[in-house]
Formats: sequence, structure tokens, C-alpha cells
Amino acid sequence: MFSLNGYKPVDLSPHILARVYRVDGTVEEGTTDPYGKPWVMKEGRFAGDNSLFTLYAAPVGGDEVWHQERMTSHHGVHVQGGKGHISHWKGASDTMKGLWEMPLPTFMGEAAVCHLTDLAPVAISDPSEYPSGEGRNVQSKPGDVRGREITPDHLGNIQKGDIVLMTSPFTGLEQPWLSVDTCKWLIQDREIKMLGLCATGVEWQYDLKLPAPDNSPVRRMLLGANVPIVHPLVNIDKLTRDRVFFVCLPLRTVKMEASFTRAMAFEEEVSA
Amino acid sequence: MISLKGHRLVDLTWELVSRVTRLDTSVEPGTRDIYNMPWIVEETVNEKDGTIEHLVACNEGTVAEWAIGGVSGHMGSHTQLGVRHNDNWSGLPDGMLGLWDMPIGTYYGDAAVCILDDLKGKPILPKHLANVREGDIVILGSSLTGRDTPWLEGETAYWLAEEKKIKMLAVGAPGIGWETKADAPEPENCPTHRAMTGNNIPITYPLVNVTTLKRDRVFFMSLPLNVERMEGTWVRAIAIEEE
Repeated sequence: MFSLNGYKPVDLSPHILARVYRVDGTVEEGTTDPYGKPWVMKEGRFAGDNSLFTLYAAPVGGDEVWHQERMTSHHGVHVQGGKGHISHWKGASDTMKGLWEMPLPTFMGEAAVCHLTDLAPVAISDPSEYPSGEGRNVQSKPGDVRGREITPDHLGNIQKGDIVLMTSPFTGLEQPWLSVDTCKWLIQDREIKMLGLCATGVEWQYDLKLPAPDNSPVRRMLLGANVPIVHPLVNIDKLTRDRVFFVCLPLRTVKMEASFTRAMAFEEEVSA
Repeated sequence: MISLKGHRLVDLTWELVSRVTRLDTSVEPGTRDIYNMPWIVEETVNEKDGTIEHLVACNEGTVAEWAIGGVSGHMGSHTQLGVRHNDNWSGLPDGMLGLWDMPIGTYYGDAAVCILDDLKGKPILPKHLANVREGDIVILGSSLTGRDTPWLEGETAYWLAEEKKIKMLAVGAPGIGWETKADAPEPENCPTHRAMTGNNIPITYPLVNVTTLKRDRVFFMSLPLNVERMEGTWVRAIAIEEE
């Protein structure tokens, strides 16, 4: 029988403490996900059996931690597919699927762990050596210290059909970045099944404001090839093996462009 | 490395079709679970990158068929435990835990599959659950409906919790009446809830496809979200069985 005995679970999902409005009028403060998004809930009482429940909702009009009543499917760790998310973009693939249309094994299986500790930033000689940043127009100059392009040479442990979990210890403009060429290699040569990323560590959300079809090339390419993206993960750097069994199943909610998930890695324990 | 090769993956999760309000304000109707719980979303544009994201649920009082607005963690297949759910009931022990307090291994592992089609309109007793081993996750299901549905007696729930020390109770619905005495005064009400949450045993339901399982032992997984203070969370429940 399938078993996870002998495997150590490593939680790759960021822990969030919900901010809760209790039925007695008290408010319990919460925390946020790695992108700074909160999880706000309102408690209620079910008259049928006097049990308590919480609604995923902020007060009407929002509160001091969230500006409106509703939050999205992108709070906390979530997995996203293309249909319903970027399918309205000019030039988007017309064979793009929604999460609900992908087979379940897409979301679980062997994963290559790529902790890119050796990709220390370098001084660039040409501004084109670093992407233009997340929604901002980064004006790099020769001599600026910037993250390095991640190339297939750095990803030697990825096998065909893998899930890929990628991070680095670098932040901000010193993060190594996922280029179009490497993304193409991941999709076409390695045929990866899914990509998992932390909130920081790898720059992949860049060129967001370029006119379509040149905007957001990494998201566009991966989701266009029906490779879901799961983020923001934590603890990839804590994994001690370069191959693990990874699980992050989406909810079974048809038409949702992204889904909350619990992302877990299971790594073989070292024999005594 | 473990692998899914040679195994069949069975989705035990109730499918909810989202009720979607599109950007153009058109509304696509959704479906509900057996308890009449919907999944409601509305498209919005993320101005940062022009992607569409879904706002979850609806604003209070804006959708007639779901006036409460928010959705709880009890929509579709979900797992629940006692803290901030039924620890307000009289007669439950101190020291009950929340979903977030439990080791993650609580939510996956070996499961006994109990298909109870022979119990048409009868109570489920320990003798009907002979394949349950100590520490198992227990999956109950049947193809029976309505008045023919077998039901879990309170004494059997306590036997599962306290003698078999099961790790989790997972229930197909329709098919199993897993709670009784919902209208009884406390502390006589809801013995299954009490037996399970009082012993820190999560309950996962409503499940589907239980009767399609071919083995009486499978690997089961239903991981809760990593959100502390949710008394119940949506899950994707699966079984993995040998082919």
C-alpha cells in the first residue's frame, strides 16, 4: 500500500493566524502571509446545534487590516492555473486549462529541490542583464549589483516530468531571475509538471506592465503550457534532500482560477 | 522515492461548481453540496499585473440566495475539530485541540474502508467495522439513501474514538447518517461530534465516491489549510489504492 512511513513531512505552507471577529464582540489580531495579505474571519453561531463557525470575510466595508469585505483566492499559499486567470490576455494560449481540468497527479509527485545558494549577485555590465522588475521600471546601470540569470546549468537535478521547488537566499534586486529561455527549457525540455516558489528568492514576476503579449513572460509561458504555479511557499531552504515527494492539491471548486492549498514536502529520512 | 505508480488515485471530494460573477456582471450559476452550501466568487482585476483573481464569497446582503455574504470553512468537503466549533457545548472535556494544534500526520495515513450497503436502514455497530485497526483513519460509505441510510450509533462513535483510537473519521454523504440526536439538549446531543472532537479526532465530510473504492484498506489524505483559528477548513480529500 502507498505509505509515507519513513518520510519526514516538511510544511511548505506559510502559517497564518486569522484575525477573528468573535460573536462576543472581541477581535483577535492575526498575522499575514509572506506577501502581507491578512486572513480575516467573522464568527457566527449555528442555531441548529449551537456550534460556532467562522466566515472568510472582513466586516462590511473592510477594517484597518483589509480594505474591503472580501478577500481573494490568492491569500496565503495558493496554486493557480491559466484559465480564468490570464486567459483574457492578448496572445494567451487557447489550450490553457483551469485548475479543475487538470488531473490530480499534476499536483503531487516527485519534486526537484533547487536551492540556488551559489547564485550570488554580480555587478552587471549591461542593463539588459536584469529584468525590469515587479511593476516598476528598474533602471539598472553598468556596475549595479543584480541577481544572476538562472540557467539550465544551475538546475541539473531536474528530471523530466518533475515538480520544481525553487528558491535562493537572495532578496530584492539581488534575487536570481528566471529568464524566458530557461522557462522554455523547463517547459519543453524538462516538461515540468508544476513550479513552486517562495515569496522571495527568485525573481519571476517581472515585465508586468509591458504591453501584451510581452507582459509577465514567466507566468504567461508556464500557465500557457498548463504548468500550475504554487506560491508563496516557505521552508524550501530547510529541505535536506534535493528530491522530495510534494503535494499541493487544489480545492475541488470548478471555475476557480486559483485555489487555497496546503503544500507539503515529504523527504526520505536518513537511515541510522 | 515513493511513487504513485501502480496505484489508483480516487477523488473523494465533493465537487462544487462556483457561482461566478464575471467582470461584465453576468452571473454563472453554481452548484451546492449535500448540505446546500455553495461556493461563490466574483472576478476582479489585479491592477498590478492585469490578471483576474477571484474575490471569495459575496458582500453581505448583496446576493439573495446567500445573504450572509461570507463563506465558512464548512463548504463542500471539509475537516473540522472542536476548538471554537463545539467546545462551547456543556459536558465536553478540557484540553480539546484545534485543527492547527494537531500534528500534520493526523491528516493522512492508512485508512479502513467500510462500505455498509448491507445495513439498509440499520444502525452501524462495532461488529460491522471489523476491518478497523487501532489508529486508523476510518472511511464510512454506502450507496443507500434517504430512510435506507445506515446511521452511526453514538455508542459506536465512542467505540471508534476510545477503543479503536482512530485518527480521523471520514464520512461519505449521502450514504451515511453519521450524527444523531442533533435536537437533544446538551450534553446528550450530537454524540458523534462529542466522541470525535472530545478526543481530538477530526471529522472530514461530506465525501463522495467512497463506494467506488475497491480495497478495504487505502491511503487517505485530507490536509487542512495552515490557517490557525479556522475551526473547519476546506480540503481536497483523496484515497490512493493499489491497482
